[in-house]
Parts: sequence; C-alpha cells; structure tokens
Amino acid sequence: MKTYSIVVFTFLITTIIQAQQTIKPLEEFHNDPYGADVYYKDVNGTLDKYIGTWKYDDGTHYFKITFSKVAGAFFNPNNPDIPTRYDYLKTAFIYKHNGVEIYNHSENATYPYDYIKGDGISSDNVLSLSYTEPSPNGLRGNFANVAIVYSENGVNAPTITWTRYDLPVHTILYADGNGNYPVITPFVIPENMTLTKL
Amino acid sequence: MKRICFILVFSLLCITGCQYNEDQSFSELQDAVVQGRFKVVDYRSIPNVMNHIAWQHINLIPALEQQMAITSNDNPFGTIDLNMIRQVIFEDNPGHGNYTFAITPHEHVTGSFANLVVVVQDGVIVRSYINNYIPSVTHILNYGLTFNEQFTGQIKRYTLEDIGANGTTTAFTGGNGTAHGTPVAIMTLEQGGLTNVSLTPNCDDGDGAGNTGDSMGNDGDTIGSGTGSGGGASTGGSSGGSSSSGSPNPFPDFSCDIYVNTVEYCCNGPDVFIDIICSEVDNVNQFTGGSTASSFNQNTPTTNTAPCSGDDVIVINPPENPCANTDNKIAALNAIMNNEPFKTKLQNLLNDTGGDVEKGVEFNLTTTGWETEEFVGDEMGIQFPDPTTSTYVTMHMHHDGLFPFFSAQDIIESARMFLASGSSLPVSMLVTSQNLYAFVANNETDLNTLMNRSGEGQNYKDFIDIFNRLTHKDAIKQLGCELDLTQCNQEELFNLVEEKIKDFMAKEKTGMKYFKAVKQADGTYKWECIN
Repeated sequence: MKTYSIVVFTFLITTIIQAQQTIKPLEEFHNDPYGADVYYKDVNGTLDKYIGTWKYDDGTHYFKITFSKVAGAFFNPNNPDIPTRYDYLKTAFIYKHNGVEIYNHSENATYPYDYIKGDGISSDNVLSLSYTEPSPNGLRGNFANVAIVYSENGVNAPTITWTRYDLPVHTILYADGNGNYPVITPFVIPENMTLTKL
Repeated sequence: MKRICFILVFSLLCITGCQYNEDQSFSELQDAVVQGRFKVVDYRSIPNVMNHIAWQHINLIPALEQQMAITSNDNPFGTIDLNMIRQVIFEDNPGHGNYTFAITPHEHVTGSFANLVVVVQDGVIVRSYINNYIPSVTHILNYGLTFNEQFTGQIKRYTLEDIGANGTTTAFTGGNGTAHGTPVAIMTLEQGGLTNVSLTPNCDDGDGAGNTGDSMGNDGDTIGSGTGSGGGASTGGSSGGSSSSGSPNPFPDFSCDIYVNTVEYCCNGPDVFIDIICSEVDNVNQFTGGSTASSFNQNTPTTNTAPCSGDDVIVINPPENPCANTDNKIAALNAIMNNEPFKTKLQNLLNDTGGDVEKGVEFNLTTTGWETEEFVGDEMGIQFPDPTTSTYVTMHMHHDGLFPFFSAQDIIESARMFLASGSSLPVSMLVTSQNLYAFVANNETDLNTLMNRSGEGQNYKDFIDIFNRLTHKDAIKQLGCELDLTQCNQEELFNLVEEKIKDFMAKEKTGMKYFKAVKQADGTYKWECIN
C-alpha cells in the first residue's frame, strides 16, 4: 500500500511539473536562450520517419544504423538548474570495413556514449545530427555534424543521404578526470552515403 | 687524482664565494642599522630566544647547535634560517624588541613565504608567532616572488605557542604545508598601507576585509600592485570598517611602518623580512600586556557576532551583477599583459595565429621564479599535462582555422587547472587573431560542481555536445547555413557564437569569470568583463 502511494504521488508530481512546462515545437528549439523552461516536443512527428534501421553497403564499407526516439529528455541532465526538455533521436550502429567489424555500438552498451544523436530539424525532410566515433577509451577529440536528407517515392524503400561535415580539430588535448586523453585520429565511417531503410 | 683536485678546488671556490656573499648580505642588513631600526644578531647571542624556539619544538629539534633546521614535519612553511636574524630596535623603549627570522620555504611551498617573530620585553619572551605572507596575485604577476621593498597581499598570523611543549601541535596541522590550522588574525596589505583585520576566519564580518573561505579573491581584497613601503613608511591605512567591538586588533589600523627587505646570498634562496612596526604607543600595547596583548596569544579566534549570527539578521540579496567586483581580476590580466615572461610568450602566440598548429604555454611559479612549458599541437595532437599547484597561468592559441573562442574542452580544463592551482586567481587565456579571451577563477564551489557534473565519462561528452549544440550548431542553424558552412557570413557567425557562449556561461555557473580584450587603435588590448 505504501509503495503504491509513493508511485501515485510521484506520478502526480511529475504530471503537475510537466503540465506547468511550456511546450513548443521541436523546430523552434534553437531560437530561445539557453535554459528556458520549455519542452521542445516533436509535435509534428518530424522525427518519426527516421525511426527504424537503415543500411549502406558498397562492398568495402558496411554501415547499419538504427534510430529510436527519446521523448521528454532533459537537455542537460547534469544540471538541475536547466529545466529544458526535448525529443531527440539516439542511435545504435555497426560499421564493418572489408567484412571486419570496426564498431558495434549498441544503445545498451556498457559505456553508452551517444556518439551520433540529434534533433536539429532544418526542414521537414532534413535533419542535423551531432557526430563522433568510438575510440578505445571512449574519448574523442574530433567532432562533426551530419546532415541527413529523407526521401521516398512511394515505390521503393525510403532512403536518406548522409553528408558529414567535420568540425575543426583541436590538437591540444586535455585529460579527463580519469587521466585519459581523447584521440583525434580521422573518422573511418564514410562521410557521404545513401542509406536504405530496412 | 686529477678529479679529486678539481673537486677540492671547486669546493674551495664555492665556499669562498658563499662567504663573500654572506658578508655582503650582512652588510646590506647592517645598512638598515643606519636607519636606526634594525640590527643583525647572531643566534648565539640570544640564548633566551633560541631556547624559547627550541622549547616550542622540544621534541622536534635534536640539537640547538646543529644549525637548527626544523624539518618539514615541524613547520609547514619551511626551515628557519639562523644565519639571518634581525632585531627591531625601539629607541624610545630599549627593553622592547622583535627578533625576526627568515623562513626558507619548503620546495613544495610556492606562492608564499613566512617569518618567525619572537617578541621580547625586558628580556622576557612575550610571545612568538609566524606571519605567513601570501602576495596578491597582482604582485606575483608583476614581480613574481621578488620583494624589492614592496609587498601587497594577505598576512596570516599563527601563534607559535599553539605548538605544545610535548611537540603536539594545535595550530599547525598537516605537517607538510597542506594545512596550517587556524590563523589568529588575517590582514590585507594593499597599496596605501594596512587595511582591515578579520578575526573571524570563516565568516564575512562585513568589513570588506578578506575572508579565509574566499580563496578566489571574490571580494576584491587582494587588489593593488607595487606599493612602495620599504625603508620609508607606509603609514596609516584605509578605514573601511573594523573588526568587531572589543576584539583585539593585533595589526593596529594606523601609524604603522612596513619594512620589506630581501637579502640574497649564495647557496640558499633569498630571505625576505617584513616588519610591521606601529607607533610606540601601540607597540607598548602589543608588548606589555593589557587587553590587546593578553588576548592576542589566544589560539582560538574571537568570534564575531552580527551579521554572521542571530535570527534577526535580514539578508537581502540584490540582483547579481556578474561583472561586479572584478577589478582585481582585470588587474591580474593587465599584469599578465605587461610583465615577463607572459608578455613575450603572448606576443609569440599572437604572431603564430596565421599558422595551422595550435600552441599553448603553461606558467608555473617556483621558488626560483617563473618556469614556462610550451606545447605545439600537430595533427597527432599533444597531451597538455595535468595542472599542479604551481600552475598560475595557462595560455593557448587558436589558429585561424579554429573557432576564435574557448571550446567546451577549454572550459573543463580551465576548471581543472583552477582547482589544482595554488593561486587565488588562476588565469586561463585564449589568444586568437581576433581578440583575447580569459577565464579567471571566481567561485570554488561552482568549479567543483562543474567538475563533478561534467568532468569525465559520458557527462564530459554531454557537456561538449551541449556546448557545441548551443553555441556553434544553433548559430549556424540560425543563419541558415547548416548544410553548407561556406555560405555562413563569418562576421555574423562569430558575433552570434560569442553571444551564445556568453549566454551559456551565464546559465551554467561554471565558477569562472569570462573576459575579453579587444585590440585598441594603439595596438594595446583593453580587458573587459563579459560575464
């Protein structure tokens, strides 16, 4: 009975808090100052068409990525002063080079870095993701943006074109709290691909 | 045989050289006698003083005759130098006197020095104490640890009597310089002379003076530079507030002369003496008892009352101006711009902004001066070393191929450096061809919070993602050029990114203040607080 009461109470509090928060379309996220008490929600379902598994295979490079939507996540979960919440896509992916598996990043990996994630809706069919790749110690010093453009013709399976824009690399490297340094070796996943939905 | 001869000759030369220099330094000290206030004394001529010191360390000093070096376990500040003892003479009252001993800092003690003072009245030891002198950051950046007749900063006084006769200590805990117990008094010496005394170490007594809990100099209590007080008098003092009524004031706030004297001689580091000699009346009060003297030796600080306690105290927090009380930080930044070795290194970085490699310099303060270490990041990258307590300033340069702003990694690394640094105002500076930027430590609690939240693992990556998203990506998106960065107007982009970084720094409470310096028409840079 006690446990039941706690669950109900928590549910009510959560509901009340969420009810008080302003909801705006995810498309408007970048317009507001940082830290706004707003839930940027995918009210238009723009992210939904990307959900699922997509594959690219040219014989040398094999890349399979699965998008799933996370709803109502805190934008900065480490800072309780920032109430902003949002919807975004997270990913799991496998990359093989000439049949040799290089990356196999599961959503439920023990060190679950969101290497590729995003919510940047540029237009109805264009999405921007933040991007980096795994490394032996999980730390990367180089980053990129990926633009994915969705298209479908109603006959064949939908496709996305994948274009990566690498950001300038900082070459003075700092250790993290455990004394580990990031690596800045070049990314290995192809920067331009067309993936087909499975 | 040849080698032995060489060593013998070399040793003789060294001994001769040392002797010569020690004689020279003695004569320098004797010059002070001409001023009628000091004379050099041999430790063998003051057995009562030496016995007193020995008694205070009775279980710690094996033999008085053995150039009594108190080891690091005994004295957190350093080793008492028996070669240089000077006596302060009071002509009007010959029975009164101070014996000031230089203390050679331990190697791990950087950024401060100490004197041992034994106060004698008519041949009787009245008290003894150690003054720990912590120069202001502005002083350090201007002059390093050189004290040519000048000192600005904080003085913490510890009574020696707190070291029990059985060798147990109450004032000096930690034993290796990491913890010094509770000082009985703290004062600030700014340009113009003595300022206020705080007798309530962990509580802001509202007098505007420094507080022990404020290691980041937030209240601007260490501002000031290069006050000239040696030989002559730096009399008087500011009158901004006072300690609580009835509290003893071991540093009278008026009519005090401050004598700063550095003696350098071979085979050892320089000895620095600071003597604060107040008017004869005050000296008498200090030396001969009465309320001031009798309560001065207490080893528990007098507790101040309001505004730190009491239920009826109403605290009103005005809207915080993020750039209030940043004068001391701007003074520190200006000192970096105007003094070596910073000035040349900064210019070198500016000269290289057109290249394609990132560069950095770390400035460490040692007992022998500033040591610099330079880093060049090629395409393989270079690992910047972990900061240490001696790291006071870091600079790094973003070449024109990088965004001309601090990165998320720079923010975290600056916080890490600030927390490790022994400086009260550590500085992290960014050099770009556009402008200069700097972070200066401001709030230790917030720095720790930032590191706990974002210092490692997934949280570290989240911090980078959030920063990049909020600043660069959102700016690019706002300008509508996210699919082709070459279409972005660079000036518009940089202005927008700068605004977004300012917003981010304001909301994140990183524990550091954010400054920018724009190049003026005359080629100089002018620092201003951004947030």
